[in-house]
Amino acid sequence: MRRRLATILPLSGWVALRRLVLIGVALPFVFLLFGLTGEESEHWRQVRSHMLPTYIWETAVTVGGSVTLAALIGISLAWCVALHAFPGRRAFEVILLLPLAIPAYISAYTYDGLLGYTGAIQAALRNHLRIDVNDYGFSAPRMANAIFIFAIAYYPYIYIFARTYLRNHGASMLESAMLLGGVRGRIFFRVILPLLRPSLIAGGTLVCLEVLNDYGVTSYFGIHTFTTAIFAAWFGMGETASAVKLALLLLAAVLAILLASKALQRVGRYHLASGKEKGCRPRKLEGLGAAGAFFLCFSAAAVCFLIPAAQMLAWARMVWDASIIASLLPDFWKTLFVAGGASLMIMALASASAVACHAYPGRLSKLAAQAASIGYAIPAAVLAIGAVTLFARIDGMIVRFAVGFLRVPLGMTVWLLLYAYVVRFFSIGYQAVEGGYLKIGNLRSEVSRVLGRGPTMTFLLVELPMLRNAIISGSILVFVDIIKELPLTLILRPFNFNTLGTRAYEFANNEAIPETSLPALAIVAISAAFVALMQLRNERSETSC
Amino acid sequence: MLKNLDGPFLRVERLSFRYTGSTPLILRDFSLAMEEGEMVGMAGASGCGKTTLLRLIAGLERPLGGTIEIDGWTVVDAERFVPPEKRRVGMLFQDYGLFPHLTVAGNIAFGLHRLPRPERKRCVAEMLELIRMPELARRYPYELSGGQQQRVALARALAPRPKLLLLDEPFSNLDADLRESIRDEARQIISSSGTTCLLVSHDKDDLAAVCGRIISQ
Repeated sequence: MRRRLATILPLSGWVALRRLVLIGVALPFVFLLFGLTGEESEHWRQVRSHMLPTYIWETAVTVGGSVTLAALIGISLAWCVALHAFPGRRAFEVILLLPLAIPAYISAYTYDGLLGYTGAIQAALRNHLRIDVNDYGFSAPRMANAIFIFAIAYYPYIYIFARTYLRNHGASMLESAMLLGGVRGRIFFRVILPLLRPSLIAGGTLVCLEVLNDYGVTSYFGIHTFTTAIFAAWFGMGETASAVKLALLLLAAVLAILLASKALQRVGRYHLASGKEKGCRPRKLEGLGAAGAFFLCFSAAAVCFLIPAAQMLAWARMVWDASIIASLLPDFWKTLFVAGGASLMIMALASASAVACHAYPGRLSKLAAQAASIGYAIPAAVLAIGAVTLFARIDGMIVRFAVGFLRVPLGMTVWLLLYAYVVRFFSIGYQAVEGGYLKIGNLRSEVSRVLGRGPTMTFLLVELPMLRNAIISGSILVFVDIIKELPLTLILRPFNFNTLGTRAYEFANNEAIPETSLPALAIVAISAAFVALMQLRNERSETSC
Repeated sequence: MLKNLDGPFLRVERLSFRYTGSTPLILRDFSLAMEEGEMVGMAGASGCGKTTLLRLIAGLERPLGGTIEIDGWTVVDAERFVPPEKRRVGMLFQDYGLFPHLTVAGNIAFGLHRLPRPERKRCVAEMLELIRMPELARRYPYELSGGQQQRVALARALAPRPKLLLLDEPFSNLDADLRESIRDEARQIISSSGTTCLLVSHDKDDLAAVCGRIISQ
């Protein structure tokens, strides 16, 4: 039975704040609709009749291919690591998550540089074996390139869901299936794969959303997805009306994916009869089996993390010199500054919303929380256009009504960028706080209320100290995501404002691939350091409790 | 505030409740009256709404209908709902709910925020004396045994001198041999503080050992 704190007055500061957050998150999408103009521009007519089929086709192929390949990699690795014991398994469990620290656009630059004409592989073939790859007319199709990069960058989403599920339930399922006389290979397809469906859908949806959001990889390989089309219309031709229409179409596609994912999760969901299943001992592999498992995991780790990392290090050594470092340093600090500022704001707003939800529960507050959490699913290009439209309106009002120093326009300042970060990453922070609330339960908040403390003091004195770890973990997740962010920053950054991500993008755009390694390594190092910090904190808090 | 000084100390009338959704009614037209200083026990199988009744009196749930009056003060009726922090009711929860980040003294002092600092200190010291744990004031809850945790929770509930103390299965988490001694202790502590108290338990022995009057639902 769900217990909850009783409601008091219908309106309090917390509830008002939560409503403000909800409005703030929803506004860009409302203003997107204002961008719709009645008449059809010539440009849009052109796009609709000539380009739209291409956009749809290339977006669908890229998304479909990436999800399929990511699922293949993610599930086979999860199956290997979760259910079998072989040398190096523990290390692989962690290493196989590391690709999340490398933004996909960085992998794209790195692999393209590595495999390109001047890259290490072709150069070695030419110089030592006198083989010129071009003689064989070899070149991968552009979409295959992008699919490969997306799959190695985002398979961890599927891997992590599948691994957790298999570790908790897989071994016992496997044992009973074998006792019933199944053959191992058949069991995988008949028992394990159907059970993995929820993890596959959850992880696959995230991969879909990431690919739809991407600009760095698709623009680099010249693929016509909706996001690149929105960029082209907005930046390239200044056709705002077309950009808005494309954005609305993309938004519709995303909502369709979310609804389909919800529906698929609901149909044929398996409930495990007993919740008490603990993972059984994984099957010990020996000889050829162990070697095979090791080889599979090692090659995945090599392709997805070690090779790009090694290539970046090699390039960094090559291009390292004082002047380029000096030119990167201000961007390094700016990146930390905006990411830090936005994560602080997000965690403060997320905590306030969570307090409102818990102290004043109700159907509406649950709905509001869900609605505010949708921001992350919306592609950055869509959000950016909505935010720009919104800020242009606000600036118009400021110019008309405000006086003196207040007449400073907000559009295309760092405030616009920070606002967009808050809208996009709010849900990550909110989910972290909400997870913390689930863990600590209601009992202590209720004790505090009965002892005469109102909701605010209860939050400050009881819930906040207990939520500390959840809030810190949430802010680290948000921080790392913002450091890696590219499309939103590209559209909304003020003139001459660079983050490490946009610097890497600019280097790559100027065909200076080796130079991308410097901002890229900085991003990877910051992400890895913070994720390691979080892991350490979590371990310590688990041992101390 | 309308005070009805002639009536009983706690008056619960025609109280009905269900949890959200279309679950069946947990309480239907339930009524109860208690005099000041009384220690009343309430028996009944688990799931019959005993805990819910305490949560309604404390203000942690809103009833579907009915009235609750404490010391002549209506805390719930059709128009009114006094939030838990204003009711001056103490509650000892089944799982204690000690604050893990506060010491024993910090836990006991938590509800004394309206007192000036010296008085607060004196009150905490008195309470520690009452539960015979003055030397453990600086310990954290996880450094205490189950029985000690229970006494700290009791002291914390009693410290703000609530008008009414509610006890929800207070002894069910204790070992059998510990249970008897703690039960007696708790009765002494509560009766020496003179607090009116309502205890619910599925264990008739618990009720018989502590309460002056036993009703069953």
